[in-house]
Amino acid sequence: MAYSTNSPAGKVVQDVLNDLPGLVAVAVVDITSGMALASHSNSPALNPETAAAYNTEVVKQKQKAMSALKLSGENIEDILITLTNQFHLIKLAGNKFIYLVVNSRETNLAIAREVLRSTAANLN
Amino acid sequence: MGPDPLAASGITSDKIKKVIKRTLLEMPALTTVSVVELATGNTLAYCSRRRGFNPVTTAGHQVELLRQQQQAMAALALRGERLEDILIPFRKQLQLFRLAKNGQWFVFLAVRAEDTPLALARELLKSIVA
Repeated sequence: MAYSTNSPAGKVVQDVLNDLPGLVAVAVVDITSGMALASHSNSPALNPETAAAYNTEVVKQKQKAMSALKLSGENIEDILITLTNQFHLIKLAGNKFIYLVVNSRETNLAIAREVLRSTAANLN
Repeated sequence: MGPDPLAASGITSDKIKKVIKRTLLEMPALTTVSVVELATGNTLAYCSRRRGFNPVTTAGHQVELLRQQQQAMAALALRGERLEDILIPFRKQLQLFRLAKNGQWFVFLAVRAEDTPLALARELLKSIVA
């Protein structure tokens, strides 16, 4: 357990875990530093801290693209990445994001998004 | 005749035509559809209703995004997992990237969020790229 429920980030990790007990990994990441503020993984193969660092780059890249394309009035709210057997979800909230990995056969994408949407509100 | 410039990406001009035609047929209200080669970042074909759409700048950013994601996957050493698609829902616009099976090219689709449900756009793109 790499989180404390005393911090808002830790609480979000705990909330997501309560709602999606079968998740693979979850982390709350600070976009500025690319470091995880709180994380939990149910899979020894997946290190959420590594994932956090790389996904920060994905988020930054997308934000760069948006300002270059002048998509005014639009904000990135989430990014959904489909792999063969997993969904990776990135839910942005201010200067942080929640990163969630679930098994696509066990978890419905719509439910996972909804859980992130409701817990992200408690982050800031 | 020299080597086919498309051979490296494993996509034929017939396939490109088919992808664009089918997408336009099934999603007439789309904003942008483009077929992009991942290695070079070249846009192989596109159709856009956005005024001032620049395929070169757009493709550059898209390729960078997909490369970042592939690097993330390589770093995580996810076994047996392949990047299938990336969805970015904005308030007014949905953006989808679907990678071809060989991983050498992808289709980018932008649609108005109010016209097209996310799940529908995703399924459609899946069948078109396959």
